[in-house]
Amino acid sequence: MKTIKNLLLLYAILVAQMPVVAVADNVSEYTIKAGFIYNFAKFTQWPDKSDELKICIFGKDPFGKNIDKIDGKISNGRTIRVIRTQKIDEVRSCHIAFLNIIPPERYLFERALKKIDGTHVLTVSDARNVTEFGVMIGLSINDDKIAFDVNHTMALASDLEISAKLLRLAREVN
Amino acid sequence: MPVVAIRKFLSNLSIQNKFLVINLAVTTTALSFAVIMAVFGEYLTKRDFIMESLNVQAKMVASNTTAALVFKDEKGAEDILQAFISSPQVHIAAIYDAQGGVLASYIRQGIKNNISDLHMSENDHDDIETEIHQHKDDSLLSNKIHINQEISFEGDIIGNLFIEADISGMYSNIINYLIYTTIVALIGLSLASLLLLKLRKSITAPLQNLSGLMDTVIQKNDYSVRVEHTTDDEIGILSRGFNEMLSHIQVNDEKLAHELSERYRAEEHLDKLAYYDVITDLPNRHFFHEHLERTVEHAITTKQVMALLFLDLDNFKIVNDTLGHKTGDMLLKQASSRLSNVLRKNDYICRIGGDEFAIIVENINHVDDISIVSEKCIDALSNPFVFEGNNFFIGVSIGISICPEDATVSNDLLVNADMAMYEAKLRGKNNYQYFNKKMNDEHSRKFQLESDLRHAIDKGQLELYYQPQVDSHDETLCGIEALMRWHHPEKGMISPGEFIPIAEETGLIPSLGQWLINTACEDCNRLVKAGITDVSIAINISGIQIRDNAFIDTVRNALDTFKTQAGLLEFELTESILMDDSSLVIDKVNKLRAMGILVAIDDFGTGFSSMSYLKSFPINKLKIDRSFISGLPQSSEDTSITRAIIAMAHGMNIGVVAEGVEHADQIDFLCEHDCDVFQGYYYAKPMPLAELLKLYEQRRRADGHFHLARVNI
Repeated sequence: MKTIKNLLLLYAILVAQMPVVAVADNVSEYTIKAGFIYNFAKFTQWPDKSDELKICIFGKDPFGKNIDKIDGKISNGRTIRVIRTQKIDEVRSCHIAFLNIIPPERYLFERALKKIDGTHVLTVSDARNVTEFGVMIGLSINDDKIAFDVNHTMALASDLEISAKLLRLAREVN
Repeated sequence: MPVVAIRKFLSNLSIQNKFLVINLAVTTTALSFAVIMAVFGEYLTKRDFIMESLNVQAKMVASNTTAALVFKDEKGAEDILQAFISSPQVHIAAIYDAQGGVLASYIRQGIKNNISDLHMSENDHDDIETEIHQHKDDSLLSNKIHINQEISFEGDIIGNLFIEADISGMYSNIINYLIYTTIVALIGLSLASLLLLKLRKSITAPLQNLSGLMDTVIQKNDYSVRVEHTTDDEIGILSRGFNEMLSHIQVNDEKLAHELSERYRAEEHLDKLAYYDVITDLPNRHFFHEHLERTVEHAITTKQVMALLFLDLDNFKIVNDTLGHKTGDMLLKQASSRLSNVLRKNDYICRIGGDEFAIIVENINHVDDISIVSEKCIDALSNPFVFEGNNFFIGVSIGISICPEDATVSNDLLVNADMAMYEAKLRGKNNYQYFNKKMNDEHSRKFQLESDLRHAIDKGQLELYYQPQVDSHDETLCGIEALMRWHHPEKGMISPGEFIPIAEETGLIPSLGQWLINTACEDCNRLVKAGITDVSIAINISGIQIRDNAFIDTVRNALDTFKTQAGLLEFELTESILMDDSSLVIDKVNKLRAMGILVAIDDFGTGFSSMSYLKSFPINKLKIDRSFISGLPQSSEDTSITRAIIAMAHGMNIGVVAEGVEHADQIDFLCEHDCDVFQGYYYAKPMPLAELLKLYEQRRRADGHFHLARVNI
């Protein structure tokens, strides 16, 4: 019961009380982005059967408490764990990795991605054109709305199955 | 009332057409029903199919929209809804989130719907909610189908997909289907009609055969024909029934024909009975009247002379009474055959009743012809008829009436002939008389008197007059003779000589006699009351009266009723009465005498018979007929007869009365020869009782004598 209540609460926070996916003044951008990450988890299939679903924040944490709210929630039968890390090696065992690389240079992303190559990590970033760098999902803001691009090639290479439903919503898929 | 109209319409059709109409109606109804049901079924199937495919589509779209819903991605959701472009029947689609807010909507190009307006005011959640709920139930025949598909994700309901589809597009399909099925039905109907036309013959042909036969039966009255029945159905039964009926009718018809011929024979027989007399085989009265009428008419139109002979057998009654009716009938038979034998071929004889016959003689050239016929008839019956070894003589009285001389109407002719026949009877029977006008006058006076006489007693028109009888020794009143007077209101005083025979003929004598006796008794009492106790009243009794069975009782009743002394009554009988049926009359006279009534013989000396009968009767008086008195004293014949009568009477101890005394020398002669009583105008004429009493009183006061010379009346 508690989980349902919490879920509803989350839903209220993420959707209902922010009915428009606009980045309103009173709602932090990263609250919405945290919600996106949570929902990405729902539309993605990982090859492993682990009970946990690790969401790792690599680099400086831009979410703060906003993302802690999804820690412990259940998605597709897995318990979400929010992990903050500065070591790229630790990212290898994550299911979703939010890569906050500063400065958002291409080579930096390519180096980090190389480190986690061969793993099954759904990489997400909100740096500009990151999908071109090899990041799987790139968040961006368009007309006060958050949109996302998907590098489906990369996801497939990492044995990740992103739901077509999600793909349909992507601004750009390559 | 359509049903009535239809029934009327049907009843006017031949069975063949009725059959056709009913079958077509039934087939059409059934096919129409089948078409409607098929089309409706097709409609439902199509609708279900559309529903099903829409549901599948909705499920697919709903599942595809989960991500868009989750991410609140309107654009993405709208993109998904664009998938409905390929489903032309989907007009409107919308995705609602869990709160009922519209995330995305799809409206087919060219379709305007208020959902777009709703979409515009997307904040108004309640309206949209209502919209959804309103469309939850779609009627079966609605053009619009609404589908509300829940969108769930991870076990949670995260929104709704609402679809409104218009299925009117399928109507063209349905109409095509309808046209198709209708054409099929019409083909089926045509085939059925063709089949019906072929098959109905099997039903109507036997019926037509039956009705055709019926026509034959009716037109030709031939009940011997029969229907050939080959089928075992109702028509077969009908045919058999019809044949049986015909058999019955045939049998009955034959019976009826037989009966009719029997009846015809019976009627012929009755006809003969009605027109012919059974005994004589002659035409009867009925026939006679008709024939007479025709003959009279024919005679008048052809200006020919015809005669009617009315025959009445004389003495037939005696034969009938003494030998019985059977012999009477034989006599009639023989008489009629004798008469028939003497008649000419064209003469017509009928028996018109009892012993009466009528002969119609046509085409007369001379009156002598009729006389010849009449004489032949009299001759024919003049020979005796022999029955049981005895000879019977009967004669015939014939009355003849001639047309147009005597009458021009059949009934008048008959009446005239009857009168003439009566005249013949009066003239001694066994002769013939021609009718003459005088007979008619006499007859009509007689007829008038006859009818008046019947009422004379009741109307008090009858009165008794009394003529005094005077004792020859002292000329005092010793008796009075009662004489009937009829005061006819129109014809004045009518004498007994005229009306008594009429009364005799018409059977009025008994009642007239009763009145006479009663009145005499009454008057007798008045005399006694007036002190006249020794004067007898003489009453004339007719032969018919004394023969009447009730006569003695009538006399006895009168005596009892008026308490009259019988010795004061004297009944006067004529000689002829005493000579007929003497034993009967002797008996009656003895009875009268036994009662104390005196009996006198009236008109003595006029009869033919011997005096011997006088001994048989207990007579008190003889009245010498006035014809002898009138000749006194000059006629030697009359004086000798008168003397003889007086002597004989005195010899038998019987008193003698002289009637019609009118002169003194008559009195002198009678006194000289000891006549006992005088009666006549010399003393007094007949007078009413009151007058008599008055006269008596006068004379008594004078000297008691009744002599005219001495008393001036």
